[in-house]
Amino acid sequence: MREGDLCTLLRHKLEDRLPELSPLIDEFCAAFSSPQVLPKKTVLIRLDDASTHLHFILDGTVLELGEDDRGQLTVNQDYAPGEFVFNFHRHLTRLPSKTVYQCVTPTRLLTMDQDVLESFQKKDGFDEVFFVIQQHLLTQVRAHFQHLLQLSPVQHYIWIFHHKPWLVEALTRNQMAAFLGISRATFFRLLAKHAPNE
Amino acid sequence: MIGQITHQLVPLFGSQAPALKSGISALAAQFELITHVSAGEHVWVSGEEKPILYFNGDGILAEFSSHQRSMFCQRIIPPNTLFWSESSFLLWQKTDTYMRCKKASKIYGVSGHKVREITAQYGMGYILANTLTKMDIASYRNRSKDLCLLLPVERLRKTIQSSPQILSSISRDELAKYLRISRSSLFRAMNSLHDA
Repeated sequence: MREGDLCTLLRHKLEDRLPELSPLIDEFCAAFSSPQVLPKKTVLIRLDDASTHLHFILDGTVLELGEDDRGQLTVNQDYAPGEFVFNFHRHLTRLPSKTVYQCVTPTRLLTMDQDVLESFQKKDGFDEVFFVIQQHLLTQVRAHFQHLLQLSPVQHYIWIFHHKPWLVEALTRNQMAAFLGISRATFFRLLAKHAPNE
Repeated sequence: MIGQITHQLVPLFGSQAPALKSGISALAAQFELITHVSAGEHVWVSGEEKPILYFNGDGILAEFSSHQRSMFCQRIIPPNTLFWSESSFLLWQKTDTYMRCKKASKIYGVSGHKVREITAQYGMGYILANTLTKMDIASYRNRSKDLCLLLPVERLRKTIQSSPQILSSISRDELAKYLRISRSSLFRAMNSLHDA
């Protein structure tokens, strides 16, 4: 994934509205920071964070981690190259984040500062560009939900093994169990029985 | 019917609704009766182009996704509510689910093209599209969290609380898949709830 891919992605989605939106897309893409490389374990969004910076991943993996009422680990979503990372809880409820967004590998990403994003929100036509970003966010969460619903934990793990092998490397076993929605003990039984041939 | 549709549309525009009153009314007026559906019939099936914002009359619908010849109930559409195919109306692709009627209903709708035309004409921008997308994102995140964290009996209790009509609308097999639990776990959960 390269820097220019963000612009290509937005242009592709808004093809039928070009050239009308072209200057705005260019301006939007140029307003992201230069690519920065964050070391593993860097926290992008903290607990109770009310920030609304928009991140676009070029390389690496970010996980959204939390805890339920019983203190059990939750892994709400993974974010891979070509995907946006946004403070979902803040975006959806206007309340501070209840989860932590953490790089689980060294991660190269572009960031748009929340103030810059807010200034774009006031521009004519930007809600159309922002809709494209929301389409991507929806596609991400919808795919994860459908995997949880349709696949058994074993099938889900095998799917991850084949389609997102970097997650198998990057996630701890606790995190993987939480991502699959099963207990750590069940995950170990699953691994013992069904570990895909490596 | 226009009144009920307007009632559903207003909250989607949030604090801007009063200023956009005439646009919302114009949009509601564009809804037309598309079809009468009976139980078992589909409003759409996978692979169709249905960029339409629908309104469900007084029946009940259920949306299913298919995987390896199994059907999984994803959501229930209660009476008098708006609904849409995410993949077609919001993501501009072909439908990838099946919207099946569970209790006979009249289905109304307005095309995405018309929605764009009206929202552009009345200066409503992409508020509607952004709100619907946001609602879907929130719904999937909540459902994913429930599937990962809640015990079967808690999933069942929460589902009955949010969609009381679900027990009489879909079969026990469909409900078990909706909750991502086995049929026997579902019956155990139902017994626990009944005993409680």
